[in-house]
Amino acid sequence: MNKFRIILDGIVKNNPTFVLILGMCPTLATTTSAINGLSMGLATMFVLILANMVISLIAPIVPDKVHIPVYIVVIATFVTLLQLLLKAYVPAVNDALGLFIPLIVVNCIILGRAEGFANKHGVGESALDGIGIGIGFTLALTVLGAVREILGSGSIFNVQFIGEQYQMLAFVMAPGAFICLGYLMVLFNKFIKKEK
Amino acid sequence: MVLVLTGVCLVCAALLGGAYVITKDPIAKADKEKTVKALSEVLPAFDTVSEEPLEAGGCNYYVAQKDGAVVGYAIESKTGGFGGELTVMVGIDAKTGFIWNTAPLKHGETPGLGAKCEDANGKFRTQWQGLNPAEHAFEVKKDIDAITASTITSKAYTKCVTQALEAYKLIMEEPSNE
Amino acid sequence: MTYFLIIISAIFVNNIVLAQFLGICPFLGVSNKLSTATGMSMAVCFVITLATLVTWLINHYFLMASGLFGIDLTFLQTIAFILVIAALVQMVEIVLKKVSPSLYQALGIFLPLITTNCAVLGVSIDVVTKQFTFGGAAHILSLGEAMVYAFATSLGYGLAMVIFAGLREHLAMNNVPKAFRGVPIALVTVGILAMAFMGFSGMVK
Repeated sequence: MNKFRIILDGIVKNNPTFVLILGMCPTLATTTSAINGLSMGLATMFVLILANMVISLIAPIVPDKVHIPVYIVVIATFVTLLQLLLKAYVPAVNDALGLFIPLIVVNCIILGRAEGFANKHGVGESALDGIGIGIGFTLALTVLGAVREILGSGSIFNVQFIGEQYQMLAFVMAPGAFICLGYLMVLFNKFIKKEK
Repeated sequence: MVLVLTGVCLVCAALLGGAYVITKDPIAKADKEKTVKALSEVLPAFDTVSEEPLEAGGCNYYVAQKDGAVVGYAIESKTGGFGGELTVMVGIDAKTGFIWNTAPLKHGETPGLGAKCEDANGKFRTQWQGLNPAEHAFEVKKDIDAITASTITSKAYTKCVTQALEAYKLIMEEPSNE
Repeated sequence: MTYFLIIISAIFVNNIVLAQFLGICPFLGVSNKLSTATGMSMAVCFVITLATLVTWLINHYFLMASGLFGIDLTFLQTIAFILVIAALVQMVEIVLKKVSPSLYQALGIFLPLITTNCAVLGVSIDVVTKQFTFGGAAHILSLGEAMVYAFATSLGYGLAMVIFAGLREHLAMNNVPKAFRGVPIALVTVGILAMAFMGFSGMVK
């Protein structure tokens, strides 16, 4: 039950996008389609789980003064690992996400969880927290990507169902990203946050 | 303090060095596969193609053969697009000299907008198929319909094709290709 | 002419916040008041320009295959750059404290936040990997161009930040529906601002 709680907290109560409002840059930049949002979410989750686990292991031996640089090095290592793996086995994803793969390093969600959770908890719990927050982030990105894809390109997961004359291209571009995310946050505040 | 930081850095660097060596070959293979896939898209049916690219007029090109006869040329051409370099492969039917098909190899165009030039069945890509270079000047908004809201990408793509056709003329002038 | 194109493009057409989505977290976080927004913009400007100079040199002389070691180490870019930026921010903080206490007072509190500002890492990775198309052929920026690009980009960051802080000060005085309060209404406002900036697109190829 307790384990389940940690995961659920990451998805709803501590949802990184809608509640903690962290990691906005990849959220806005990579959600031009549902599939891109999903890949970015999964990529971040990969780094988040591994970094959380390693940091929870090394936290006791790291002196307080250098803990931030050490955490950043750990995170950057996993990000580079991910980048190499993507280039080698799924180059299409690497091409679509571009600069935002290396930028996972400075995604405040990961450093935030390392500081706020992983360095105080055990390996197992930290992994679960990574999974929960990761799922919350992935869901948020996929939903935002899906909304923008439907409105802007008239398709969902690349399946076209609205004709070209009814597509609103602005939603694929920068302004649509901000406005969509703003309204999704409103909906989240109105309907999900209330249930306490 | 310094010891821990140095230690962590060394371990991480060693780990990444290992990962780099392991993934080096698959990355090279993935790059190669992109070219192979593009070749199969832009050329008529062929059985052998030049292993290494040849060079003409600043463009790399590949010669495709079927049963010993040349069936087509695939020419790589690049220019600046909206978000960085745009590389397009243009396939030309050796029999007629018409464009068989085109495919972008590398681009940094905006997803959902300029990146639509990737879509093999999209309106932008299909309009090139079977065009006779002698009959068209290839200008966006005249012969070529631009991708909606992506005029710069469309123009860059068109420029790539024009450059490739120039290179094709040079290839044809070489006596060995008669 | 190339430099002029770079400046216009980096400030208006490809504004780092409104078109490239970099550095959004501090953009939303510290834009409540005009004075803090100005301070943050100045600190970002300083760090981005300095970081780009250092990382460009490191990339050119140490990581690239043509550099001092003679092997391709560019896969270490991310890890090397973030360490350099973190160290640089610390050093700037120490130097400022000694040399100009008044400037330190103005920028000091923003400096630690900048390490995790993705605009800094984003710009420094962009200038060494992306092919830019200013002045015709696509090419990797030279050191001079990279410096101008970095400085102009950070000016664009400041511009967006100051405009947005101004808008938000007005917004604070209005009666906003409860569910919209805080970040959601801010995001919608940025969206409209981004739409205004889209008017610049096409000005520079």
